[in-house]
Amino acid sequence: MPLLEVNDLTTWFHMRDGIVRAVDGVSFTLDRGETLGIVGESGSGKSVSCYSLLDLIPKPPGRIERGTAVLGGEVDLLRAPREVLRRIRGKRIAMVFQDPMTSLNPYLRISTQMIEPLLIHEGLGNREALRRAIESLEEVGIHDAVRQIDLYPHQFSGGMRQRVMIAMALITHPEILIADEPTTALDVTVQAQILELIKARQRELGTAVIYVTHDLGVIAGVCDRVNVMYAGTIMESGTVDEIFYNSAHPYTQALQQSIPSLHDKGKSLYTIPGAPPDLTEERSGCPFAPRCAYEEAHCTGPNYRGLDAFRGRHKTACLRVLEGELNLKEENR
Amino acid sequence: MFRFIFIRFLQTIPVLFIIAVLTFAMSRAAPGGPFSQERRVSPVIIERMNEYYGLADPLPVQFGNYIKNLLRGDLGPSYRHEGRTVNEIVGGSFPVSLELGMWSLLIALGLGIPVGLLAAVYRNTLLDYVPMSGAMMGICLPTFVMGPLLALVFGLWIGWFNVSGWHTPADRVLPSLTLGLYFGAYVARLTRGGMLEVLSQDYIRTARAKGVPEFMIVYKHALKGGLLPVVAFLGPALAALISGSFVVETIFQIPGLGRHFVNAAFNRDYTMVMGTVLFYATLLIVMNMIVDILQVLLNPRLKYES
Ligand SMILES: Nc1ncnc2c1ncn2[C@@H]1O[C@H](COP(=O)(O)OP(=O)(O)OP(=O)(O)O)[C@@H](O)[C@H]1O
Ligand SMILES: [Mg+2]
Repeated sequence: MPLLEVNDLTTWFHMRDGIVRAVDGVSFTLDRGETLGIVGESGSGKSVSCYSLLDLIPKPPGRIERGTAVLGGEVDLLRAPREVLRRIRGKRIAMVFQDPMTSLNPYLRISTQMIEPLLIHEGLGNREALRRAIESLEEVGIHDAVRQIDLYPHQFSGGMRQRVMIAMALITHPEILIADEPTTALDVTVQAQILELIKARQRELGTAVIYVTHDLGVIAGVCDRVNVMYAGTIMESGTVDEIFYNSAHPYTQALQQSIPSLHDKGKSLYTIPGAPPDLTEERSGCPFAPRCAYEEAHCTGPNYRGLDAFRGRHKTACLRVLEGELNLKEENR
Repeated sequence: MFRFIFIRFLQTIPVLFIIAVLTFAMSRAAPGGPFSQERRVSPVIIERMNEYYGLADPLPVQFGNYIKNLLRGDLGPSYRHEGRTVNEIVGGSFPVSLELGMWSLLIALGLGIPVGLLAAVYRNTLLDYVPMSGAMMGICLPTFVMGPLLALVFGLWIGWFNVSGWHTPADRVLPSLTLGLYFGAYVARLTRGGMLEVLSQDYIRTARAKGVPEFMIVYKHALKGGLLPVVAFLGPALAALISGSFVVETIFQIPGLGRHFVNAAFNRDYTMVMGTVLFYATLLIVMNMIVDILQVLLNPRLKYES
């Protein structure tokens, strides 16, 4: 049984000028201790799908329209009573956010913020909680934690703050850590340290991690499996090897080609032709079709069936690949 | 911190001096003098009185004398209240204004902050719309409308309170309400705005993701930041509550400093005008200083910069 089983998750924003279909029928599973990457262009619904799981999207305008997200085979997160969900947040599922500069409360000491999950979820006393907080700060590589813990967030650098966020998220030893672009706001050397840190802590604690990023390099470095998202849906899902070396969706390929790589210096950067999708439009068929090099009439027809099994757990949403009309490996030879 | 207070203190001296010069010049520029009245008084008497009070001297000499006395804390004699000094009058009437101001402040904060909080937490519901429309009305209704209205309803019609006066504890209610509701309306709007701003911040989302209960999010994570606009407003508001209450003092016949100030201006009671203006100016500066310090204490980012 998977640790988390998400089925047909659909989150829309009801705006004045139309419905933004930010997440539209997303299904995936997460096993204990595994690392799942979610990758996709900006606006493809990566963050919203994660926030929906913990009811962290602003409502209104947001609304979870359909779907289930079953944790440990027992609770459906999308239908759990508020109190039940609150006890899961920060205890069984913890989050680290993109911008460490704004994600810590500037008015409260690090210590106050760090011990909070322990006071709330484990009923510890202040003294014991503080001891644990200092311990977990040391575990994420903050020296002199006894003294540092009394400071305010603005007295820390960005990298240090993200370490604090990670320590705070892991302090209750959650089963799932959702990291929404945890390194995007940091400079490259710090990025590597933070990734390494999450990996190390994950090994020690057996935490499953959902990594949200638009950086394929990060995915290749740390993930077991990957979901590739486009326009609020999953286009392809598979292991890192399957996604990188055996890709079964033209969008995944286009995404890979648009990474600036070192050896192609001088060559102009590949960009996916066409405009990003308009999420307010109701669509039928493949959302990537208008920008796809392999598009055919039936891609947007009634036969389009969305994400489906390709080979074993390797799934793709490309109808032509599924029907065996298109072999991307052949095409690229 | 002490350096900061000391520097602020030094800055007030030139400010007060400029205010003194301006007030002096403007009050003297007004036609007539303290002794001109409807009833004709013989010019000889006026001349003798001017001489007695030093009003016949050239203006710079008069100003110099005034400042000299001021430095000793002496605001001079009142020209219109025979035998009483300005110090005595201010000392006697300011506590009344202060009391009125404090009650009003209590009402303004005690009502404004909870209403604003509720409106922010339950935004876009009836709990937001109804009190906030009330607050908008409170801001639009000037005190000289609100005061008589309250006096009419609760004084004349229902008869719970005296229409005017400042004798029994019950006499405090209507004037304090008049002022307090007006400022409370501002406080409510500022609280709501500040809280909405803070509640949309990333760190509130972090708190939610940690499983912090909703009331703790408001109370522990949002309140400090959300109340900063109210604190910033408090300085000018306090000064306005204490000094700007002359309308209310006039409506309800309260023997406060505000009424003396208005009367002094009409009567060209030079020393009284100078005295009250300088007193109010000092008060305003001190209030703003206290608020600045309070803001630094509330906001750790400022604390470590100063
Ligand atoms: N609060 C909101 N109100 C309205 N629309 C929203 C809101 N939050 C997100 N959206 C919309 O939902 C869509 C998906 O947003 P999301 O934040 O999930 O993208 P993302 O894949 O995380 O992108 P990025 O890489 O930029 O973080 C976007 O089109 C965005 O405009
Ligand atoms: Mg995002």
